[in-house]
Amino acid sequence: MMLRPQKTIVIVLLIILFLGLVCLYSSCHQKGAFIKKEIFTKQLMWVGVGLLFMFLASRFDYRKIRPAIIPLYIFAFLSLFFVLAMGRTIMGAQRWIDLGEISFQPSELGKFALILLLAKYYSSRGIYDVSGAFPRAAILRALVIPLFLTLLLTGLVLVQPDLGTAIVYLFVFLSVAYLADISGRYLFGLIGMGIVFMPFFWHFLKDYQKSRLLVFLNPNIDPLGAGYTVIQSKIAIGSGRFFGKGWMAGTQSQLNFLAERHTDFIFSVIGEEWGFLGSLALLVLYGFLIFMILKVSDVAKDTFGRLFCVGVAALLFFHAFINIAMNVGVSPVVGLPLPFISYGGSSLVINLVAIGIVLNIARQK
Amino acid sequence: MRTGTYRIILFSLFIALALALFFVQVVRGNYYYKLSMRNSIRLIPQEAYRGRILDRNNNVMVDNMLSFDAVIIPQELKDKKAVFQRLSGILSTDVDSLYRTYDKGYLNPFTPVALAVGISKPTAITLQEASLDLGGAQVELNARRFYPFGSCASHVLGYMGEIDKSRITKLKDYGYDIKDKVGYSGLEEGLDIYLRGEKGGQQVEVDNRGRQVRVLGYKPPYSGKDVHVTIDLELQQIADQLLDGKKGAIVIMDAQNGEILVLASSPGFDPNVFVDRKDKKSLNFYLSSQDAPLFNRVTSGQFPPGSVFKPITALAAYRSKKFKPSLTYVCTGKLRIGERYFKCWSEHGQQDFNQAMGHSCDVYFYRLGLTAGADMMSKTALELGLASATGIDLPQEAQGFIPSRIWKRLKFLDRWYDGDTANFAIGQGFVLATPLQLARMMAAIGNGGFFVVPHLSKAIDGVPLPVKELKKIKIPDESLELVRNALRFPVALEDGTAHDLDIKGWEVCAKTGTAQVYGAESHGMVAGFFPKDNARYAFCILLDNVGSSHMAVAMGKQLFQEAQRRGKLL
Repeated sequence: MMLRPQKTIVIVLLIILFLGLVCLYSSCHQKGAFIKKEIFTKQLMWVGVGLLFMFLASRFDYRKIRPAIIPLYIFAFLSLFFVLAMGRTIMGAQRWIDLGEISFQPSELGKFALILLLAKYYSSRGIYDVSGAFPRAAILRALVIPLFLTLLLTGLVLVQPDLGTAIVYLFVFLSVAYLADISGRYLFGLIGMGIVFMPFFWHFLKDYQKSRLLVFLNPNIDPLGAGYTVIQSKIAIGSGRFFGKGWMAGTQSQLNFLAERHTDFIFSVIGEEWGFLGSLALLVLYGFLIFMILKVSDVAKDTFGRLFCVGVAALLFFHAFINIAMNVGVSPVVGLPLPFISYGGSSLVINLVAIGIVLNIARQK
Repeated sequence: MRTGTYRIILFSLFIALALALFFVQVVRGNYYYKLSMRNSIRLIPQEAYRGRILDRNNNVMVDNMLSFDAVIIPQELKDKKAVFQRLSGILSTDVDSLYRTYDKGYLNPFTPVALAVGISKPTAITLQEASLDLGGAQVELNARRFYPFGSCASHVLGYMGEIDKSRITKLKDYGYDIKDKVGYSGLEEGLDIYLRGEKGGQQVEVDNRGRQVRVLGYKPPYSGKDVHVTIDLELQQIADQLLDGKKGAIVIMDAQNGEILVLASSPGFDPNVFVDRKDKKSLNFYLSSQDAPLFNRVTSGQFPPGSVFKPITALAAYRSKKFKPSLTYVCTGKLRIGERYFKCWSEHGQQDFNQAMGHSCDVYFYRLGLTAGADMMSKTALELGLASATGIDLPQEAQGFIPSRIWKRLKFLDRWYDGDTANFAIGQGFVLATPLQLARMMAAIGNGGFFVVPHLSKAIDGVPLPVKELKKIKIPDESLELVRNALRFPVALEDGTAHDLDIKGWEVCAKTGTAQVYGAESHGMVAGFFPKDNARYAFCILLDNVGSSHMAVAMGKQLFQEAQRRGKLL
């Protein structure tokens, strides 16, 4: 079966966006009343804006972005810095910068900037040249410098605190580095070190993050506190059974048992109302999208384009994977949206722009 | 190479996720589905109207009274502080205790919490008027159990209380639920299943804070059934008055069919106290008094029957075929058995069977007992229903006890002596019986050998209960007739022990007895039947710690005279 990636990506994406809006519409209801109408209309607007930007990005030659990457990275870095100093605090985390009517989440921009930076870095000449006079510098060039650039952003995100995004940054880095053919020894060494130092990082976590991790291990230690969301979302998803309770008919979501059900926990609404069938369909759609993006990476005409696609695929994959896993209760709760479905303008628009660039890469193969 | 590996990693992770979803949604789906339903569906119960209890003449003994209750519906409570302040004024209760009652009674946002039950009508009207601007406070009309005659027949009726743990585990399958009111002791417990009716209620869908979203369904409550009992309220009241201030028991039973007309046990209790549980002093007294007001002496009290047992000794002797009623013995006030002298309570001189019965001569009955032998006495006692529950429809009936030679050997590793037989013959020693068992025994002797099942329920919901076919006991008729005739003597003889019971035209047959109580005065009792031939009624009167049977007989006289004056019984 030969599918043309460009077309498939657009179709699958539109289906996901449409399903997302349908679910969001349902989750904005409570007891039959459309209580969060403005959230739905805003998201509708963001989808429109995002699709426009995607279209524009797909028409713009991606190679012309290269000179803008370092300034973009610096901008992302500064805005992450800025958000810590000045940003709006929502639920204990400083993640947003107010821009008049709308607010903007620099960590989303950070993901985009990081992917571009890593793609650019690993596609520049000389990275793989380990035969030179300084073989010892190989590890520096192949691993330490890009890792340092990644950790700069990761660290800032981590102190917001936003554990989920920080993890995604690391996964994106590992994915890009792996597919940039960095020596396996370096990568395994890095992962090994990470595991060894894991207990050490425990002390850097906020109390609520610790409790989330503990609750993941046993949700019943705090059924009305940190465990509540997980227990209720698991009940919601499970209660959908095979065919689901039907659109707008989920008792868990419609009766407000689910917290955060239009953002991080929107998947539990899908699971409850659409059942296993709907959940599986969504997984298949994500799988299609991601594998099509990886297919584009295979046919990209340069390394930059190839690695950019890898970064985008990794970004989408880990968002979807971790988000669904935490909804089902098989991963700890970290604040990550479900790509293209969770409410949130920054993430949606930036993801769509990234897809636009992927489309452009596909066009130019 | 690596692109392939990478894809395989991502693909396997997605497969793992799909498996997790499959497990949660398909394998465990029903479990979570039930949880989600339980999350969102609640029941608001609506109590059923409990059946009434009426006596044999349609007098209402237990009723339901409409009671005005001041309640709060938590989800409608907007300004909690202001509402409680106002309520405190209207109900003239201090705010703190109202808060305490509220916190204690709170179940969920939509179930009304009763702050005050049984408020007066004027208060109810004031509150109803105020409730328009007091969001959440209301007057609720509830049915409240009411016992119009107070402590009269309290042991027959029992009382109501919140279901306890042991009952709920036993009764869960019958639709009983926590916080249910159930009957404790008496007919309230014994007939609870008929009286209680079926709770109805609304099924509502609630949100995450338990607030009602919409009503899913309604099931009307079904009232409990009215129960007619065999009690004659008027006689019962006389008996209760006679026992007032004393410790004792009176039971009068229809000797032909086992219907209980009077069942009085003293001290008694006022079941109304348990309805609102406000009278803490009385409650404490009922639950902790040494005299055990909640204890039903008629069905649960076990005593040595003393001389009331003598008819059994006589029957046993007759059955042993070694005994003729013309047999006389000389009572010298004592009898040597083995190495011990067994005393009589008096010196009766020469006595024949009827005289011995009339004077309750112990010496004569020691001899009868020795003639009959312990085995025959045990057998006869068991055949007359001692040592087995009568099957009356009241809970916690005691069984009593009849010794036997094998029992003594197993229990004390000792043989049965003639002295044991002598003690057995006059109803002392190991024998234990309840007043009800003695009344039934008397009924069987009086009615010609038919074994009745004492009972209180006569009709349920207007439908008469089937009359059980009477079983004939195996004791020969002529022996019963002999004893029946002899039992007339205690009453008929001028110096008979129960002569006071010689009510004109009633032909009362009776036997007195004293139950020796270790370390206290003996209990006095009298049991019998009337009239002599084809007896209509059997009775037993017991008075605690009165030394002799005299007081019991005197009380019987008062009771029967009053009954006769009112045209009751015969």
